[in-house]
Amino acid sequence: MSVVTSSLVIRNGTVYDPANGIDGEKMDLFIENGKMVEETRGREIDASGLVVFPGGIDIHSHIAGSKVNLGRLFRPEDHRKDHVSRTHLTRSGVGYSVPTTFVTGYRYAKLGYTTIMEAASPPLMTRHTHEELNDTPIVDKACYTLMGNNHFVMDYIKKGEMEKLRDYVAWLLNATKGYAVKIVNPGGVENWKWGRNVESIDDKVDNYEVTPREILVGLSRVNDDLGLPHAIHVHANNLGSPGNYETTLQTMDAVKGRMHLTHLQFHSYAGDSWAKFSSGVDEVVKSVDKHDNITCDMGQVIFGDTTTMTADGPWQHRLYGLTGNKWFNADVEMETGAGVVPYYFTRKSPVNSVQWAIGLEIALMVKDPWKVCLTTDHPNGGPFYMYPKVISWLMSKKARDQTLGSIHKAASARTALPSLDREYSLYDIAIVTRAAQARALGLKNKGHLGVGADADVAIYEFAEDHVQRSFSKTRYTIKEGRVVAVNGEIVDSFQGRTFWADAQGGVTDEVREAFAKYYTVSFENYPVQDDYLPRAEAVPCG
Amino acid sequence: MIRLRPRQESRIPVEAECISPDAFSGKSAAQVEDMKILWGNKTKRLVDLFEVVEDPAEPNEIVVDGDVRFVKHIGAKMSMGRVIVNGDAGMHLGRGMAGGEIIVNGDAGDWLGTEMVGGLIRVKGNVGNLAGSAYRGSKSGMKGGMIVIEGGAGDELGELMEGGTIAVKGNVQSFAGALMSGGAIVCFGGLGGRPGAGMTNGTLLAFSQPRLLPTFRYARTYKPTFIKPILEELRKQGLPVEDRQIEGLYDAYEGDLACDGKGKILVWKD
Repeated sequence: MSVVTSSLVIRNGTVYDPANGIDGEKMDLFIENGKMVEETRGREIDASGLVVFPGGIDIHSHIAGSKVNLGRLFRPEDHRKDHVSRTHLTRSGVGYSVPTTFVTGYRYAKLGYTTIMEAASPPLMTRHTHEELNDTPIVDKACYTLMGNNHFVMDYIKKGEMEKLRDYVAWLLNATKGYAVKIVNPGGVENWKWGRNVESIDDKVDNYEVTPREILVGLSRVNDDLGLPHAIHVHANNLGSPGNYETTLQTMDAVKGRMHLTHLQFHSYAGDSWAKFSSGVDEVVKSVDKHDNITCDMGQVIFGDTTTMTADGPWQHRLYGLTGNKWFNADVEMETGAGVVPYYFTRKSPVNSVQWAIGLEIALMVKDPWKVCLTTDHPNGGPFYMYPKVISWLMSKKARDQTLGSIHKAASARTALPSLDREYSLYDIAIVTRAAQARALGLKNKGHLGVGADADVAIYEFAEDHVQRSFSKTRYTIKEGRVVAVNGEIVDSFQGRTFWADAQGGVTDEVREAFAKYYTVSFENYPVQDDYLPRAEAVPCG
Repeated sequence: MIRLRPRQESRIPVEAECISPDAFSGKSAAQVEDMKILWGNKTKRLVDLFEVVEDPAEPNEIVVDGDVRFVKHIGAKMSMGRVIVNGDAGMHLGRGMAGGEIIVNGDAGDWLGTEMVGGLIRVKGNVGNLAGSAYRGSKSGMKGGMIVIEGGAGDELGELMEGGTIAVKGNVQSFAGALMSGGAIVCFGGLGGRPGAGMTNGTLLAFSQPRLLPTFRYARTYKPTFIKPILEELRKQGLPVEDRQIEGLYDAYEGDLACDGKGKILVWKD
C-alpha cells in the first residue's frame, strides 16, 4: 500500500544534515512522492529564518506491546493527570508516562520525530506489539526481538551449534517481523524464572551452563554473519547497581562485533553501595572512545514521576523492594520476562541527582558524537516529550548549571558534570537525534535529507535563548512528504510503515518438536502473519 | 449566595466541578450562568440545566434546591465557603476538597470526599461506596478534613486513608479502612466484613462487634485517651456520642499483620 503525496518545496531554510556534511546552510529542499528529490515544483513552504532537520529518530523507546500495555493498565493515576480529547482528526487517549498509542504517535510527530524503534518485544507476544504499532499513527516504526534469554538461543550456544543459531535467529526475526536482536540482562532473566539473577558476565546460567559473555558473543557473531542492519542491541547485566560500570567495561571488551549499548546511563555507576554511589562515566567513556564497533544511547533521567518497564525481571523486583511501589512481573515461556514499577526521580535524592548528571556526562564526554544517541529510555528515565529539555541541557552549560543548583549537591561532588564546558551545536543535536541513530540502525534512507532519502523533515523556529521551547514543537513536521503537524497541531494523520529485517533462515525439526513439547502455542500459529503489518517494509540483510 | 434549581432530572450524567464556592467567587449571576458543564459528552452552560438565582446575603454559599443525584463533582477541590444540597447529590461530591463545608440533606453517590485534604462534609442520608477513599491507582487517599454520615455507607469506606476523620452513624459495608495508614474511622452502627484489610496504621473505632480478619491480633483491653477529642468533636457535629463511649473500655486489635501493620481496630465494650 503506498501513500499518494503531492510535491513540496521547502524554501530558504537553514538546513542541518550531518550525514551529508551540511551544517546550517541556507538551501531549498525538494520533495516528490514521499522522497527527497533533486528538483521539483509544488506547494511552497517558506522556511526563511527556520531551522530544517531530518525527521527525528528514536532508537530506543517502550511504546507498544504487552509490558507497555501492562504499564498503562497499571497506572490509572498517571493518566488522570493528562487526558487528551479527540478532535475531528485525532483520536482521544491519555498521556503522561505511559501514553496510549494514538497519543504516542501524535506527540512524537509534534516534536518532529518520524521514526520510532520499540525497544523490546518478547517473540511470543509480538503480535500484540504490532497491533499497538499499527495504532501508533504517523511515525515509521520497528520492534526489537528479545533473544538474550531465549531457550533455543542458549541451547545452541551451549552446544556450539552456530549454524543452527544463525538460522534460528533469522527465522525468529521473520516470525516476529522484528528489526534487531535485542539482549536484556543476558542469562539473568532466565535465572529470574528460578528467583535468581546473574552478577557477572561469566556467571553460568542455571540449567543452561552458558554465560552472559557466551550469549553476547554468540548472538553478535550471528548478527554480523547475517548482515543485520543494526548491531546487537544490549541492555547489559547489572543494570542499576552501584559499581556496575565494571560489568559494562567487561561487556564492551567481550564483544568484537558490532554492539549498541542502550541506556548507558543506567550502566555507568561507581561506588560499592548506595551511600557511595557516584559516576563511573570516566572509564566507560574511555572504553566507548576506544571501541569503534560500539554505539550507545543515553537513557537520560528526568526529574519527576515516571514508570519503569524492562524485560529485566530481577532488576524490576529489586526496584520494587527499594521503593515499595506496586510491582508487576511477567514471565514469557521459553523466552524472557518483564517487570513494571512506577518510580519518582527526585531532586532531593543524591542517587537520582548523580544519575541525572551521568546521562549528560556520557553525551558530553564521548569524543565522537556519531556514537551517541539521545534517549531517556522512555519511559524509564522519563517521558519522551521531555527530549527538548535534554537538548537544552546538551546545548547550554547555563541550563545544566541551573539544574545542578536545584538538585542534591552529590551531582556536583560525585560527577564531572560541573567541569564540562562543552555545548552541543545544532549540528551535534542533528547527529544525536537523527543522523547517528539512522546510521546505527542501518536505515539508509532516514536521518538525512539527501536525494533518495525518505521525505521526513522537521522544521523548527530556533531561538538560542529558548532551546527547550524551540524543540517542544515543530513549525512543520513532514512525513513521507505530507505535512502532518503545524505549530504543535496535527493536520494530517495516516499509518506509518513497519520496518523489519529480512534475513534468510529456517528451523529444524528439533525446533518444531520443542514447540510441541514445551510451548503452549503450536509452531504453525507462532509466526506473526503478514496481515499484522499493513505497511511492511522488509530491509534486506547480508 | 447562589441558589441553583435543577430544571429537570436527567438520566444523562452531568459533570459540574464548577459548582464550588471557589469557582463562583467574584462572579455575577450572569457569569455563573455561563460556566461550562458537561452533559454526557456535550458541553453546556450551567443555565441550560439550572435556574440560577442570586442572593446578596451569605457570600460564598451555594444552595442546590432539588435532586441532583445525576450531577457529579459538586464542590470538587473547594477550599472555602459552603455548599448545601437540598436533595440527593451525585458521585464525587467534594473530591479533593481542601476547606469549607458541604451539607447534603439527602443521600450522596459513590466517591464522596475522595482524596480530600481538609474541610467538612455532612450527609444526612446514606452514601455510596468509596467515601473518603482514593481513586484507583493512587497511593494515598484522604489526608485531612472530616466526613460525617448520618445514614449508612457502602464498601471501601476510607480506603487508603492517611489522615482526617470519618464517622458513620448507620451501617457500614465491607472493607472499611482498607489499606489505611492514618486517620480515624468511627462506626456507630454495624461494621461489615474485612475491616482494616491491609491497614498499616490509623484507627478504626467500632461500636459493634465486627468480624475481624484472622490477621488482626487481640492486643489489650484499655481506655484509649486519644479517642476523646475525636468523639467530642463528633458529638458537636450532632452524632449520638454517649459519655460511656468516651470513657469506656475498648478491646484493641492490632493489624493488618499480613503487611506488618501497626493499625488498631478498637471495639467498644458495652
